[in-house]
This record gives sequence, C-alpha cells and structure tokens, in this order.
Amino acid sequence: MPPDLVYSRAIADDEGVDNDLKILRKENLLLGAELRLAQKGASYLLLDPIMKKIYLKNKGIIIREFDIERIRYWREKGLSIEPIPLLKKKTFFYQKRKEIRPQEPKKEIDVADVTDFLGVEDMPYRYTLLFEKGITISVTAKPNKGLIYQLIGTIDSISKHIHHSTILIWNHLWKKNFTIGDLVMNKEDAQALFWALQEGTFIVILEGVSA
Amino acid sequence: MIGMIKRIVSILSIGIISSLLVLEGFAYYISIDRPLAPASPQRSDLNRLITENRTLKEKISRLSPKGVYIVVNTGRNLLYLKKGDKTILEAVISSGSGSILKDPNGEREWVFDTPRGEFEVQRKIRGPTWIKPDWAFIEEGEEIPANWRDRAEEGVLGDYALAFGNGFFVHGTLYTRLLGRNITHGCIRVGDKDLETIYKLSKVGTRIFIF
Repeated sequence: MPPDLVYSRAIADDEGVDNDLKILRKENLLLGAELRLAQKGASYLLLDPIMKKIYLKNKGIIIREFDIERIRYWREKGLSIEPIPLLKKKTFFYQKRKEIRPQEPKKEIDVADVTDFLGVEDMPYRYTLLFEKGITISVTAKPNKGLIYQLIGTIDSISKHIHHSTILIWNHLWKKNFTIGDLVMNKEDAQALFWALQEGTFIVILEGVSA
Repeated sequence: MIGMIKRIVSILSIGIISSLLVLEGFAYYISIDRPLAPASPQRSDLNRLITENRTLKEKISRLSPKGVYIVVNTGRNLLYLKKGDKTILEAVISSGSGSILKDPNGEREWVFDTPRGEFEVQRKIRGPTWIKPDWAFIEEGEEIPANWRDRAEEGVLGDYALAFGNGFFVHGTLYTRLLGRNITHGCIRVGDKDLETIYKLSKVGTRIFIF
C-alpha cells in the first residue's frame, strides 16, 4: 500500500495505525537492505514467500523472476529483513567443467564438438543452498506427472517434514539460529536459479512484506 | 502368534504416529511468532516512516539505469536491449562455455566464463580486429608469436564490438549456427543484424547486466 494512502487512513482511523506502522517499518527495512545491495555492482535475490517468487535484481531492477510452486519453512524466530550471503551450493551430482586439451590446429568447429560444454540444462534441479545465520534453503523440482512420481514426491515431502522438524528442535535445544526453507519449483526454473547463483550472492527474505 | 504380531505392529504404529505428532507439535510451538508488546502508535512515527520510505525509494530509483540498458541471460543465451520495463530487442547469443584450459608449458590456467554482474560499455568499435591472446594459440596447439602483428586476425568479430572491460566484448560471429549455445571463451557473440541494432542504440556508459 503506498505510504500516502497509509497516512490518509491513519488520520481517519487510529486503530489501524499500529498495523500500518508495522508494515511501513518492515517495508523500510526491505528498502534499506535493497539500497545497500543496489549500491554494489553484483546481482542479488529477493525471496517473496507471499507472492511465491524469487527476484534476481541488480541496481533495483528485476533482471529475472523465478516462480515458486510451493514454499514451506521452519524457523525458530522471525527472520530479520537484511542481506544474507550465500555460502555454498550443495548437490549430489555436480557437472564438471570440460578441460580443453591443446591439440593440432582445427579446421572448423563442428556442432558435434560442442555438445559437452556446460549449459543450464546440465544444472541440478535438486540442491541445497547454505546461507549465513543458519539459513538453509532446499530446492526441489516439481515431480513429474504419473502415480509413481507423485508417490515418491509425497514420501520425500513427508520425510523432509520430519527431518526439518527434528533439526529445528535439536537446534532449539542447543540455542542455535536455524531456518530451513523448502521450495518446490518447476525444473527449468530450479536449474536456471542454480545457474544464476554464485557463492557470495546476497539474498533478502521478505517475511511478512511483499515486494 | 499372528495375533501377537498384529498387536505389536499396532502398538508400534500408534507409538510412531504419536511421536511424530509430538514432534510436529513441539516444532510448531518453537516456530510460532511471539509478537512483542505493541508500541503505542505515534503520529510522529508514522510521518517519519513515510518520509524515510520516500527517501529510500528515491535513492534506489536514482541507481537504476536511465535510458537504454542491456541484460544478458547466459543460461538461456538471450540478450535483451531494454529501456525501463520495455524490451526493445531480444537477441539469441552465445556466451562462455565454462571450460578450462591449462598451459602445458607453465602454470597458467584459463576458465572461459562470461563474467557476471554489472558492467558498462567502455568502447564502441567498428570493424574490430581480433588480437589473439595466448590462450587462443595454446588451445590450437600453435606457437605463441613474438610479434604482436602476428596475433591480428581480421573478420572474425563481425562488423561491430562493444568492450565492457577486462578484455570482454559483445561482438559478431562467423558461427551463427552456434548461437544459443554456451561455446565462447567468455565474450558474448551476437548475430549481425541484432549486433547492428545494439551497437547503434548503445553508447559509452550503457549498462550491461549479466547473470
């Protein structure tokens, strides 16, 4: 809601002021965080759980949007709206870079010679992103259609639920900050997100306020 | 015997389900929001927050590009020439292969990635000549020439080039059938017609966002 309308409502109705203050405070935190990131030259992410979107931005403009099919998260206390750097991308299967072997002069590059270079289609669609402050986001591609895939997806979802709840309780007992987000995206978006992210990329999680 | 097994299975099932419910309940209790006591709403707070909101938005807006800018999606190998939210041109490109080349005679190593982040057009060149770097000779198994004139190769970079720093260019290509693939040594290759449009509409200082 634009701040002008909030102000007008506040004059008319004092009961809404507390709520409006809260929303404005959060929005200002978001804008402050984004301003700090926009002043650097690197791209950054905004994760909006309400709109189910991830925005890749640079200098305040959206350069790519990723849709989230489903999002769940487990955390001990509310997240503060601040930039948090990505420490590591984890996945079971890593596509390795091709090593070029210096060789005899080539006549012409053939399409057949270029099939094994890294592309976004080689990226994993099931991976974990480890951020600072104990934040972990796991990304999974939406299961394919078909009863077997749906069943595997359901079992996977239940086991994650149990695992994350257990970890949450464990970290609570050891008084450690802990947040896990579980995102389900379509396969192409999951791969494209992995491709776009680099270690050191900052994320802002918009809990309680939509971009 | 069968009756006893059935009883054991039932007890175990109830035990497991109960444990899971307790686990879920505890995890839920840990993660629910516990709001702080609401502060008394103050009209001066609201005014201050509204002013802060406007200021932050203005500062972010000042950082975003004015005029034409370029966005490069290295995952999908697409280049967008944009002005504000409007896309003036969408071009299929080729970007870095991600391959590694090691110098067999020494310790040098090259990784052929297109750099990510924010850049700007530093120079515009008509009829560019490629001055082949050392890796181009090593890759083809050729001797590195002592005379820099022997490094020059005409006609391989197309009609135009835009330099964006550290030896990286947006330029043309002879290998138009490989557009859309990750096959370059880091530069961004564009088809002739699209390159001409990009060249004519860009100027020194035009921003380039690469992800």
